[in-house]
Formats: sequence, structure tokens, C-alpha cells
Amino acid sequence: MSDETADAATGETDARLRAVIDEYMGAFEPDPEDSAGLRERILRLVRDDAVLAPSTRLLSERGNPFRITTATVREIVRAAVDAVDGIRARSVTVTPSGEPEGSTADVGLTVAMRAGVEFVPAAEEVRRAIARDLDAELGIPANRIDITAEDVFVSEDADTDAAGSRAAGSEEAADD
Amino acid sequence: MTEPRTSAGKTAEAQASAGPSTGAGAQENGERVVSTQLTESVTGIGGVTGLAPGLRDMVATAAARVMRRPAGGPPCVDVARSDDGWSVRVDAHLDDSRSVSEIVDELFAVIAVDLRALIDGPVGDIDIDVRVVSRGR
Repeated sequence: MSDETADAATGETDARLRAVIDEYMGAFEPDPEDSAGLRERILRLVRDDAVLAPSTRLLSERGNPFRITTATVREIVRAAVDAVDGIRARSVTVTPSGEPEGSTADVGLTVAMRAGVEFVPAAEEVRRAIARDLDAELGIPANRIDITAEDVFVSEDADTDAAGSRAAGSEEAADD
Repeated sequence: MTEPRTSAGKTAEAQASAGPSTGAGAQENGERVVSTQLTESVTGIGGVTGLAPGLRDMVATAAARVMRRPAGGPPCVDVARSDDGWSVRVDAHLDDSRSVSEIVDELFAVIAVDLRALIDGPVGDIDIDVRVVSRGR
């Protein structure tokens, strides 16, 4: 995902951040014992907070730029994928795309599929669900959606059914 | 998009305070007045459930942590005036009643209208930085 990495987030905010800290310090006289290295300690704390919540840059329908936390975008995509029967999202990446950049989004995801599910029709359903939800919830059209199936799982229902059959079989055997 | 809610028309005192002034203290006061009004307008927009700490709030909170003092008030819209114009930063929590894009467009519209209503004189460039922090259900 086109996240603000630690470096990017730091670079973006540093000048503004230092100005805000200067402004804060100008309006507030710390005690002498508090003032040693205070600016740098504040800067480090705020940087750490910024790194914890990376963002993705997108453009609204009217072309207004905004940032949204990467976790929020991933959550929208994950919910769309998980709503498709037999498919579970694993890793999700969303990259701003289009002209101008951020007017559309490229999505890449890896999924796990339930055993017996056909990949091609399921993938098409996943694409439709992601495109629909990105448009409805973010207001950003999907430009490209790449799906990689990286694992197969056996459904819990199938496990339960199989366990039930095995138990029934054992009882029948015991009755015999 | 719903009609932008603005604080125009109820801010005569704010307008006077936020107008052209001299000195860092006066500028800071003007920024604070504008921030208060924009915070009220922004949090009244449908789909905005609250504000997250912006840079100033984060600095105040970090300073409070470093110096083991109580933090400041609730988060508000970050406003800064420069020679070229105004910078506004909004860190917002949203709900899922509307698309993010729709809410962002209304935020831009409301902020621009409010700033022009609040500032006595030319506003200059308006740089709006919107960050969506979360989107609840």
C-alpha cells in the first residue's frame, strides 16, 4: 500500500511539527528541569504516534485530496472479500492510481479459498464486491484488482459434518 | 451532498477577532477563534463523529507526557495563518452513513465558506489537509 512510511510521515510533518512545537514552547514556559531536550522529546513522541497510523492519499469525487488511515481502507476491502462465500482475505494492499493519482485505487490481495470453490467465478465475485464497496464506502473507483489464491481451507461446517458422521459411525459400531 | 453547514452569520465577535492584526499574540488569538468556529462547523457535518488530535493537540499531549502534566482540552481543528493564507488541518473520525469522499468534499466546502465569512479582508490561499482517522459502523 502506498503508506506513509516512517520516513515519509516524518518528512511530511517535520517542518510543520517543529513550527508547532516552537509555537507551543513560545506560549508556555517550562520549568528549567523540564526544558532540557524538551523539543526533541516532544518531536520523537509525535513522530512515533504518526508512524503507528500510516495513511493512504486519495482524491475525492471533486478532486479534493485527503488521507485516510491504511487500516480503514484495508477494513473496507476485507469486509467485501469476506462477504463472498468460500473466500477469506489475507493480505490487502491498496495503491493510489489514476490520473491524477489517487482518483482511483489499485487493489492487490491474497486469499484463502474453501476446498471445492472454483477460483475463476469466485474471483470475479470478489472483484465485483470490492469495486462496489470501494465506490459506495470510499467514493473511489477501483482501477485494478489482483487476486492471488495462496491457501485452501476446509470449512468448519464440513469439519463438523465429518466429525458428526464419525461419531455416528462409532455409535453404530458400538451398538453393533 | 447536503448543503454545507457554516458558522457564517453568527460570528460577528469571531470575525472581529480573527481579522487583520499585528503581533504573534494577536495572530495566535485569531487562529484560536477561527479554530473554535471551524471545529463547531466540522463536527456538525453529517458523517463526522468527532475529531482526533491534530498536530497541535499531539504536541500538547506529548509535552504533557514529558512533563507529567495534565493534557489540554478536546481535539480541535488545527488552524495556522501564514503570509500566503491559511492552513487548516482536520483529523476526523467518521461513521459509515455517507461515503468518505462525499464527507471530504463537504468538509472542504464548509471550511472554505467559513474561513471567508470569519476573516475580515482577503483570505489568501486556503490549504486544507483532511485526514480520516477511522470509520465506524
